[in-house]
Amino acid sequence: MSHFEPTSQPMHPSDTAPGDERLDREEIAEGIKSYLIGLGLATLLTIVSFFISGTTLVWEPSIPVALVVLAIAQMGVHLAFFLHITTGPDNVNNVMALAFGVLIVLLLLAGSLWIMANMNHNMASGGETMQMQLESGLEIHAVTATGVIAPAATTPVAARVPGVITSVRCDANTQVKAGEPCAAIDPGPYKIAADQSEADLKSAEAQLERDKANFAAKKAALERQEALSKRRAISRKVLAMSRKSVEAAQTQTEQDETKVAALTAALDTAKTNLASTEILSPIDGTVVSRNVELGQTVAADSPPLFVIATDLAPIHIEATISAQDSRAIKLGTKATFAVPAFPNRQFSGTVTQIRPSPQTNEHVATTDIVIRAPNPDLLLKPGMQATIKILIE
Amino acid sequence: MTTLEAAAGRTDPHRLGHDRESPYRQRTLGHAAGGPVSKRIITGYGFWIFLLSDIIMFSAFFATYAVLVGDTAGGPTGRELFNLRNVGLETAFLLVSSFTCGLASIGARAHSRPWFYGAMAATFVFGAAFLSIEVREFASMVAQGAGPTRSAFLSAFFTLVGCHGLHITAGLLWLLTMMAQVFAKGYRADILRRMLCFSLFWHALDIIWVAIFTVVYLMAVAL
Repeated sequence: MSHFEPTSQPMHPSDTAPGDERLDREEIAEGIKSYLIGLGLATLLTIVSFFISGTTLVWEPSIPVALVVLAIAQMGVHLAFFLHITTGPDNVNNVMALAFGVLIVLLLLAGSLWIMANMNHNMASGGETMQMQLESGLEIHAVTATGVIAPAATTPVAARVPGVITSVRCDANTQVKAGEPCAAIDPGPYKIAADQSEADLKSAEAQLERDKANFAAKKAALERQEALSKRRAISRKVLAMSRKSVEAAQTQTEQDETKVAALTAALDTAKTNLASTEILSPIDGTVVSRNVELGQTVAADSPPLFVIATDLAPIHIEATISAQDSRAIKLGTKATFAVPAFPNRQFSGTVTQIRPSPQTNEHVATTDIVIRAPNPDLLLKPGMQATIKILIE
Repeated sequence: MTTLEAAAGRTDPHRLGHDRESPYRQRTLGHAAGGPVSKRIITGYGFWIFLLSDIIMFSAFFATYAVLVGDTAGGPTGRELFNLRNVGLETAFLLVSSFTCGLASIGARAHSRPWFYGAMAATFVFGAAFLSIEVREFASMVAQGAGPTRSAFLSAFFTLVGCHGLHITAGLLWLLTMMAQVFAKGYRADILRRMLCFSLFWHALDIIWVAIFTVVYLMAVAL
């Protein structure tokens, strides 16, 4: 085990077994040197390993190979400088044992990996539809298809008033909160209209006040004349004229009141229109699409400016499969799918819609299916390509 | 001594090969340097066989891990879970503790008290630091819902890395025992042989860690 070879000890050889003597200075220095070399080499190899694992400087498929080579080199360093497994005469047995151990380790690793890789290869061939005959005679079918991830629930956001877009703050993939402004329409004309309505309302209210005062004065005069007419001190003709004029004043007041009510409503509308120039997100979510440009003139009935997908909402994948495969798929059948962004993860969902496809693909009848999947960690984003696999027994 | 020499009648059976002045010592055909080998070498050899069997057991865990590494059952992958900064620290701590363990074994054989105790204490501190980082890493993974029951990948990960962690724990206990034994019994030959076994054990754990940080952590990030 040791590189240490007793040489210059003057004591009688049978006093101590070889290797058990106290080390002298030279041997200590030798030992420390060995450990220092080992430490230096191991540190160097470790740093190189960590460096290349994260680097983009080298051709990527070569990284695992380089890592394995570095690890084996480092194990060699540990064996030689820390464990002192060397080619010295004391070490023949140790080296033989090590060689045997390495043989077993290699057999174990290579055997396991080879057998398991073979099994995986037999199980997962990349065909469109694969068929596997199990020992029991049970047939397992896997239907594969591709589809694009779409949000299950989206909210369109449209302009409620026409005008020129003066700012656009949301774009595809922007995260928005409910009430957050997404775009703005030039508020100028709506502000003028609101101010105008307010002025109209004010003048109508002033008119109403004046006419009310007039009505009250005429009514008081009529009451006075009625009192006089009881004592016959005033002609009926005058009295009748006064009555008419009171009625006229009353009608005028009622007309004024109607006008004030109408103008109040008009002002409310103008204010609402003014507020509507700010286009706000109605929900917390992610903007899926933007169909508006800065400076564009939008009409009130134009198509939605934005489509916003609700957060934490399940996603939908629409896929087309052959009608033959679709016969085995039922509503609620489990489906798994993968997206290129997360190559090592498998997502799962269920089939929620099955409907005959309107188009035939090269004269083969096809069926559209919709798979619904939860998206709790929000990893799945609209637009991702999904490769779907459905196992049918 | 070999039968060859015995047959040649050139051996001296009563001196049992201890005589270094023997002219045949350097010319023997046996595996060792002639004569019955020292107890120290035999002990080391036996312990080396044990370590190799331990390494073979680890290789089974490595094979399991390599087969199951892709089977995440929709759960998190290594790339999402592993923190290479922690792994780098763990590697550094273990490497330094391996070095100080080597110094301690020299200290023991040189019968130097401050050297032996100092290097052993440093080994313990670095080993314990390694272990505490690992325990914290495991705890945070379990807290994230990425415990050993989450997927086949995580079961294999916790088995492999956890088994190494258990070895480290056992090694730390052994380290304390060695310090106590040297304190109580001094640098006796049998104690020194135990110290040899301990240092072999500790170095072997570092070798296994080299395989772990390469195969488990770096590969997960590189692939």
